[in-house]
Amino acid sequence: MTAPAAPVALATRNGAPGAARPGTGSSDPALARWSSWPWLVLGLLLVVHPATPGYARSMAPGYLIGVALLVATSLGLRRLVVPRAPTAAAVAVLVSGLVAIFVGSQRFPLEPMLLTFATGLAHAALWLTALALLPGPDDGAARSRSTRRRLTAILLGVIAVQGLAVLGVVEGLQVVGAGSPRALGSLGNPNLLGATVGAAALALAAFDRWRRRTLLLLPLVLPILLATQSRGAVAALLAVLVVLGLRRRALPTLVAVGVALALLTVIPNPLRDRVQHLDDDHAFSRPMLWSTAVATVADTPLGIGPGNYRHAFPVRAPVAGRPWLVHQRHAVGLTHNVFLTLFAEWGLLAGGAALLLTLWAARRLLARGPPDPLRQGASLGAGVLFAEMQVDGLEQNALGFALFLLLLAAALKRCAVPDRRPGAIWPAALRAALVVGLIALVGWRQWSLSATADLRDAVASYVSADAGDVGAATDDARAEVEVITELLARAQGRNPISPEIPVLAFKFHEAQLARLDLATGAGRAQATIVDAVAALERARALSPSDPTLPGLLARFWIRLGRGRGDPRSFDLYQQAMSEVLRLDPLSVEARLDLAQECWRAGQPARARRLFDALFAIEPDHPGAWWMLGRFEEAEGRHAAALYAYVRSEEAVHNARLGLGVSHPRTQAFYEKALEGVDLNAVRRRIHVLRRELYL
Amino acid sequence: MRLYAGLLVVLAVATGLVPAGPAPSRLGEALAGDAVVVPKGSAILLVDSGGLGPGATLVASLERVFESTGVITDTRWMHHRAFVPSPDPTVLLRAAGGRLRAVVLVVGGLDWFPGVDPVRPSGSVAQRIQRDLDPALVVEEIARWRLAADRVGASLLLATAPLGVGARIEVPETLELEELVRAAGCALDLAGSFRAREDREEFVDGFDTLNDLGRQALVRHVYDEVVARPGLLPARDPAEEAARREARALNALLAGDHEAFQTAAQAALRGEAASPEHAVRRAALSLLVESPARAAERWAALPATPDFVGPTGHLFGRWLAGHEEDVDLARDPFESALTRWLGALGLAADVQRSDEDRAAALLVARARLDEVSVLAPHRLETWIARQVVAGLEQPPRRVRGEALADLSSLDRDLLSMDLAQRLLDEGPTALRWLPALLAASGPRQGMTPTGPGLHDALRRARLIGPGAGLRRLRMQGESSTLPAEWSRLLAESVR
Repeated sequence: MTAPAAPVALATRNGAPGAARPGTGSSDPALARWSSWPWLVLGLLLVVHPATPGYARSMAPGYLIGVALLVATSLGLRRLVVPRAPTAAAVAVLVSGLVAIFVGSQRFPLEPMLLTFATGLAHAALWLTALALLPGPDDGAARSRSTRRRLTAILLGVIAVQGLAVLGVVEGLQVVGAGSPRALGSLGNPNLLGATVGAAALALAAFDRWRRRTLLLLPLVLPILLATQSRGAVAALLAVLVVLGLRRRALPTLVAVGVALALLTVIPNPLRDRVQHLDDDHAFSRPMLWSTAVATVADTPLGIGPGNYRHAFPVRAPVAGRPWLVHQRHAVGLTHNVFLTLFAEWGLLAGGAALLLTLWAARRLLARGPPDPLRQGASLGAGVLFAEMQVDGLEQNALGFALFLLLLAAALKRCAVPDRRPGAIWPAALRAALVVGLIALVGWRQWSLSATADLRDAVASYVSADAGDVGAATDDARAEVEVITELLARAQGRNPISPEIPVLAFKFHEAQLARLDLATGAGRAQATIVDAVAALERARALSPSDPTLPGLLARFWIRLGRGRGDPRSFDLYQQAMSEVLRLDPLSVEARLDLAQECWRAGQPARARRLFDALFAIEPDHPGAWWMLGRFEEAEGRHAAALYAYVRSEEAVHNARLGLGVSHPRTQAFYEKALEGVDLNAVRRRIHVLRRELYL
Repeated sequence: MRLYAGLLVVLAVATGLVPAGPAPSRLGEALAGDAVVVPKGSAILLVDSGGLGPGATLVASLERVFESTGVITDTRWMHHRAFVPSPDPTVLLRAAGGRLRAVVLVVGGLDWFPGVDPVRPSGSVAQRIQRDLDPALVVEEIARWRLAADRVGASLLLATAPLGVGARIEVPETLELEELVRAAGCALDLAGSFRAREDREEFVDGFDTLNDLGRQALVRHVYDEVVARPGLLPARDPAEEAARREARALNALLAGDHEAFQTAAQAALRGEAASPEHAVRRAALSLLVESPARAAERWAALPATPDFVGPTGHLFGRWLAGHEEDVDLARDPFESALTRWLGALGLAADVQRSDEDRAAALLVARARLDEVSVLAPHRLETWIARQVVAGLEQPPRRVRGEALADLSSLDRDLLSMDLAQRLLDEGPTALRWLPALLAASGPRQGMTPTGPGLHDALRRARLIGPGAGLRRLRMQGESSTLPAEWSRLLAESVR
């Protein structure tokens, strides 16, 4: 096959004939030699790594190491040229991210922000490396062919591995979320799986010039796509096909889309079943999620910090009265739109840069050019993932986003539109620093995690041990305390920004206090209380937005108050619980706890108000209704008690039905809500009160 | 374009596979089918969401009561069960054309709350129990019915749904719905009426589905409201207007409101009676507010030909006025028996007769009283007859305590205790009350006598078990005579 004529003409127009044109990397012998190793790394990163046992745990460090290795393969090249616009966009996003980290660190934990930023840095590195690595239009047919072959191998590998993961036939391949009614593959997210497989299949078909043999992919891809039940993935796939059909005036494509839609609607399938059984207001959840994100952007234009939207969402989300959303408000945590994620978390500059980059890329990709299967396939694959990213949080998954960046870079490099300005130089020193930095970060992370894991085990052992036995063996106890104190210091030294370590310190002091009550006097106890509270305050300073931390403090105060009969404990408990509700206004559990304590403290009116607020959020909480019934009965308000018991009985039935709802968070919520509620006991109380009230 | 048209066709076909909504009611067909027998403006449609129970028996009772008293005549009552939200009511009411006089829309009950059923849990997560009813939906539903009624020229009467104590306590959200209906212009406050009767067992489930006794109470309530409030369902002609005046007087009599009775009776006696039914009721009222002679004149003016079968009370009144007729001509067997008893009583009370003759006549009067008691042991007329006979005993029996005990086993809304005391005080002259009581009991004919003992037994049977209900009835039966139907009602309630 001969090289297309048009790129050659363009190359002639934009620079001296025969000279290497910045930004394309063409005819650079060093670059040509370099082009083997990166593919191997990419194959390991995108195909082999997701197939390894324990992938869910090693996803983030594996990705960072993979990108570091990819960049390392380029260290032999002193000059790596990348187009200016994508480079500028990447730099703008990273700078904006740094500002957002500074702003967000006042409210949110620093450690996860830095790790998310590191992932963003890795994305940028992969993006720039791919732009330098992949062949341009004037790089010759041979490089184009080899790139297509390598991309085909990677995409086939992705489909194969995810297909096997869905089926669960490969021993040792971890299937994340096994037991979920929606297929997850090893990616952990059905929308991501659907979009990835769909994008890969579409790209493969185009790479193969739409030959009939590509239809062989259908029996493999279609079941996976339907098993994911992903509306977004199917819509993205069909939308890209429609655009393709309209641009190429390809009637068969449009007819195929129409037939596919009709078949999906008529023939029973998991996707159709899911759409039919969605909650009434489920269709409106995207506008709600987006409007919440827009409000966040308006409040914090500089960004709340990478990865922090999950903390901001529960405070703002208007999800009261929608139990299916209330239960997963901490798990949603995504804006469900890539631009909104950038605007909200990384700041206006990042979002704006991404938008400009999108316009720049769209102009290039939609420009007419000579037939090029590599460009078309990569464009279609990237298009599907891009469309999916507008309605789902695909960007949160390193593998999915890496595949998108790779395909987008491949498509952009093959574009016929010339760059007006020469490409930017990516110096080898910067690349080397990046490689060292990423590897060092992963190393430090693993190093600090090992210390935290030791501490976690030691504290768990100390907390769960029988206080009486340990108290008796004073020497052993003292030795254990010394070991834990040493582990604490070591973990703290290795990772001073992790809030988990002071939380473990708090738990340790709390357990110490329980033993001190048994063995020693008040002086030591007072010192331990101060230590425990100080540890928790340290944790709160590192993670000010985490509602579980004031929750721990509240539990600590109320236990202390019960054990020591200190009346001030209830006030401190209330303060801590107020903080919990400020940070997590939709917390049902916090309201239930607070209502019970208010009742015990002789504040029934406030307790009733809390119950009212609780039921406004979650009307079907069997435990709360049962508790309210008991309180009302104790107060002599038998009619109100009967009402609460009847609601409790209804709620038991509804919660049991709710256990069948697909989302695991909802299941977990109802499982917990059903704890301690004996349906027979509820019925007995109803029976007794009915006789009493109606006879 | 052809391609897009094809796509649209595919979508339309796919959409067509989705099941359609519920089929419209057949009420329209029924009304349309009755076009010949139901003239214009002569049908009243009762619409509820299921709490009123079997609609056919209810509307039959309403029709009978209003027809027999002349308060609403030549009007067919119909029932329609509407689901919420209902299909377009305009379509339904248009099918009835101009035949509708009024639409009574009962709003409320547990059916208005999706999935609420304290007895049975809801069937699916999609139909979660929701008690937070959207007020806007209720207002909208009422507005749709109002608009539909306006379009066919019928008046819409809003009614709150009757609810039991269970609904009030266990689903208190229904109270908010009640307030909403009242705010929207409630014409018939059935909820308020049944709230005042919460001690009675008038619901199948204790919540919102009426049992036979509840439907009976509902009919009485609707009748009393139509009689008491002239503007509720305006009278169509002077005859209906006159019947309502008479009914108001008779209701005031039963309520023991002497002043209101005098005023209402004077109003009812004005003008000429348009039919024998009016004449009989006016004669009965005349006996109490005018004079026996004037009452006798009114009865004498009624036809006395041998083949004339007068309305209820006609024969008894004529006997009381001294005109002996063939007792078998009475339309009502109870009236025949009462008239026979009256004849025997006249002989027993005749002071010109010898003691032996009067004693013999008293024996006959007792036998006739037994006949009356067998026919209707718990009617007020029987109760009065029993007291009158006891008063003639030699030496006279003191029956006051026993009589009041018997009366207390029945529901108070039949007769006020003040009037009962007064009747006992009057002795044999209490006979003058009988024609009016006979006329006043018209709307209650065929209804089961009820009382606190019955309600208590039914409640115990529901909440504890059949044995507890039976024990309650047996205990009360030791101190007073109970209606025989009560045991049957108890058995049916726990079946």
